[in-house]
Amino acid sequence: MIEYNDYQKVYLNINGENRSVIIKPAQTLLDVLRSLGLTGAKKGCENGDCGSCTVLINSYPIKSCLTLALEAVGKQILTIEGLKNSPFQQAFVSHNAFQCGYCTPGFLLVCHSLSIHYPNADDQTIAHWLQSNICRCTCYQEITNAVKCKLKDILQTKKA
Amino acid sequence: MLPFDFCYYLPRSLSQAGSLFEKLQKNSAKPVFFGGGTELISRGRVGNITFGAAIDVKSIHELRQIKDTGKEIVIGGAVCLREIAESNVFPLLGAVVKRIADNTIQNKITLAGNLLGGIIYREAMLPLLLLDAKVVIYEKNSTKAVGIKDLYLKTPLLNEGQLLVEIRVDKQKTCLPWFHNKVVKSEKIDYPLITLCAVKENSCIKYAVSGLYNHPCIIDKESLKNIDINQVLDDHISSASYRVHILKQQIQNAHKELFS
Repeated sequence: MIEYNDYQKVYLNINGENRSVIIKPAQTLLDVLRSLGLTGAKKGCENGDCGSCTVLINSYPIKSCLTLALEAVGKQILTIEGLKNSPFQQAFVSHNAFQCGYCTPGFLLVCHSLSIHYPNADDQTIAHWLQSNICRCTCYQEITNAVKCKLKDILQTKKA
Repeated sequence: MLPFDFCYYLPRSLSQAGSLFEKLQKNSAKPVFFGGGTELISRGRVGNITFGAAIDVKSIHELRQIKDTGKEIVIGGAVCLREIAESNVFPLLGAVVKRIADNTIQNKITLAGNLLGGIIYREAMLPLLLLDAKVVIYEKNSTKAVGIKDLYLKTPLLNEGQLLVEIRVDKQKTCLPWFHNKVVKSEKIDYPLITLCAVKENSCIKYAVSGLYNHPCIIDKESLKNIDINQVLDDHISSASYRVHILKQQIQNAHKELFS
């Protein structure tokens, strides 16, 4: 049995790198990521409602504000900083799918995970996944357009 | 960060988790079993609850399995809602859990978390009530199976130190024709105004509802006639009479769909 009391050194695999961190059980993954300078995951509601803190753990989106950092030990964490040249990033730019940008990292990670698990996602599945995140600039239509367009591109590339 | 310190344990077996809980309880360490943790973290952050030790049960094999034994469907307490929906071993339960919270949170909320948490709706309970599921509980070095109907009105559902290991459902019953609909006030992601589940067995329909009272329940024609409006939830989401109206409407829809 593994036991963690107070501050302790652990390794977190973040964006493909093993990072040694000294953390205590009460710290959320969001706190730890931001303390490492990975500030792409944002503090929004800190209650699991807004999705601005979304990161991927083992390729699935989770809300890092509702995850203890210790729960992520031994798993693959992907933050927006590690999502280099994702096709969705360019799609968001070309479809004007953001205004203030606060929610954008969370949305991009959800889209990235969607493309891994459901590359043939239908409209209903896309809507179901995107409903996890809130954009207070209300760019929902542009975000949906960007996702649909890019998923179509990815599929066509695969077929070719 | 949670505003209080606690110890975090990762037991690998039921016996480790059980004996650790007992030991910590004796030492007044205020232990809790920690699955998805969404409720513990969100309520802990705002000071609604505190605990001295979190026993993370996600590494215990029995709690993480989804199994088809041929006779029964077995789902571990620490299986997350997304895994239940994707496994498709219990289609009605899959449809219900897909509408609990949002898609991302479904990667974190566990079956036991939904059944045992403080949020009154406990929608995952509805299919289990309809199909007379058994709940396997671990306590003091032994497991016992209890019918969900003997448990669901208890508050809290389990006693301190008891751990929900798995639920077991007759496999044949999971193939019965079913209906599910969740009616919400406006946003798609919200607590239910009414969530209705129904199954048809031998030309007879059984209904279970969440959002009517402060607990999920089975409802039949007789109890529908005798609803005590003073017991029905009356809050910012809906008035009591509107909830009853929606329930009756949904029952008609279920009847139509299951007999069409």
